[in-house]
Amino acid sequence: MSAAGSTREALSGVAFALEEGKVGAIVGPSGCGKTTLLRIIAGLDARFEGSVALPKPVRLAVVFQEPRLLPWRSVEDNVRLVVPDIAEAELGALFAALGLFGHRQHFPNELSLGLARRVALARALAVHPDLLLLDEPFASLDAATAAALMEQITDIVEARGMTTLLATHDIDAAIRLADVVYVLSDGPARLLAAIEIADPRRRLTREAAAGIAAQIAAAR
Amino acid sequence: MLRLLSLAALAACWQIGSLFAGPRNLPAPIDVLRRMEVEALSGALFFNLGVTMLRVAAAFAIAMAIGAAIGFAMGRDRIVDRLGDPWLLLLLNLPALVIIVLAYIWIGLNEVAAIGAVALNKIPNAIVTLREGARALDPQLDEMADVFHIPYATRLRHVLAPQLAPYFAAAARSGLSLVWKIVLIVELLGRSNGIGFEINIAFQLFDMTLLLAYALPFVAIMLTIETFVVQPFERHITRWRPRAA
Repeated sequence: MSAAGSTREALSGVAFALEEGKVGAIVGPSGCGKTTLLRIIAGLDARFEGSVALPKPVRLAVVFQEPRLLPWRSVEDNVRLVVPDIAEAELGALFAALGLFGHRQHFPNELSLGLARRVALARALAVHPDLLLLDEPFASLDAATAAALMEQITDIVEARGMTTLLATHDIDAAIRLADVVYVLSDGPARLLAAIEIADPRRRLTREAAAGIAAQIAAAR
Repeated sequence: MLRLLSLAALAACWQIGSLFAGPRNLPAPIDVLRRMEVEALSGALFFNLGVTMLRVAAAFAIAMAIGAAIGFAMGRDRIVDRLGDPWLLLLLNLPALVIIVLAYIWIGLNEVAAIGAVALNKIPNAIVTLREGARALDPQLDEMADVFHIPYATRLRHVLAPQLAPYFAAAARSGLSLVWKIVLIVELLGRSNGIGFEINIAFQLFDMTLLLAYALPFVAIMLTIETFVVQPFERHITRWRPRAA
């Protein structure tokens, strides 16, 4: 697909297919059009040529880079906004898995960015999406927070086996999380390479990771 | 405490002023109080206060409902905004008196015309304020609601309304103070009861005592409502805000 914003072209001929149940990671320099790509897939941006083929019906959830929580609702009620009849047990398990249990009654303005992003993730997971889109989930987080969130996302992805597509400028994070890494060029973005990872996530050895990193570097 | 002192000073000035101006131009506070008592005991004061309050309530409710709906539509939709803007400008600049007289001529000297004219005076202000509110709505939250397919009723109540609430409260506060002043003019011009009507009689008889006996309790009630109902309501709906870092 190609996308043209009001002022400039963001994507130029990007085509890929992500297998169901797999985690895809879009990497590329900041501002290359990763977010635009996710927005197009999410149906939030119609100014593009080409097509997005999603299985129908598809339940889609997005974790935006900004948490986009309702500041006047508690953490718990922000999740309830999207799934009003969520079971108490499920809500509890979701908060426990994301380390949010003690923050249920807090309001978004009382949370750090790392916590707020987790709430946004909890909200997205609550709808049991077939496709989860994550836009820069680790951006602007300190290393420890990012590492903890990485562990939690890995657990969830492994447990649920849901199709996930994340956009990140953090190549290391992409390698540790994805089944396949899509390398985009500087904007307007072209797809430079799609690198499959045979033994992804926790089965990925240090040597294999280094090899993937080298492949990505070579592609750019 | 300082406020009470200031109020006492005002009463003292009034008392002193009445000594110089004479009871015909400025009756002493105690005379006004006695007249109030007479009017209260006859039931006329409460009846007229009640009638006027009902008109205030009706005009206020109508103006806020219509003004908020139109303002929201104009703030959300550019075409509606373009179409409505000239009408809004016209309405904003029509003097209250013109609207009132036109309403009485076209609709007749009745309650519909009276309440409608008052509401029509407030509607443009409510539109302008709520339009600002609708324009300031966070598009990021809109997208979030789109992505999660939040039903429109839920979205209106939990995503949009809380964002509009501060604007609604501001419109309500300025609206009430506008409405209760205009209601008196409407009553003076075309109704046969209410505070405005009594003030008209007082004016024709040059009866300052009667005028103040009706005007002061009404002002006191409206100020009480503003202080103890409207302002706490405003604080209540914006209560999540002070949490902001």
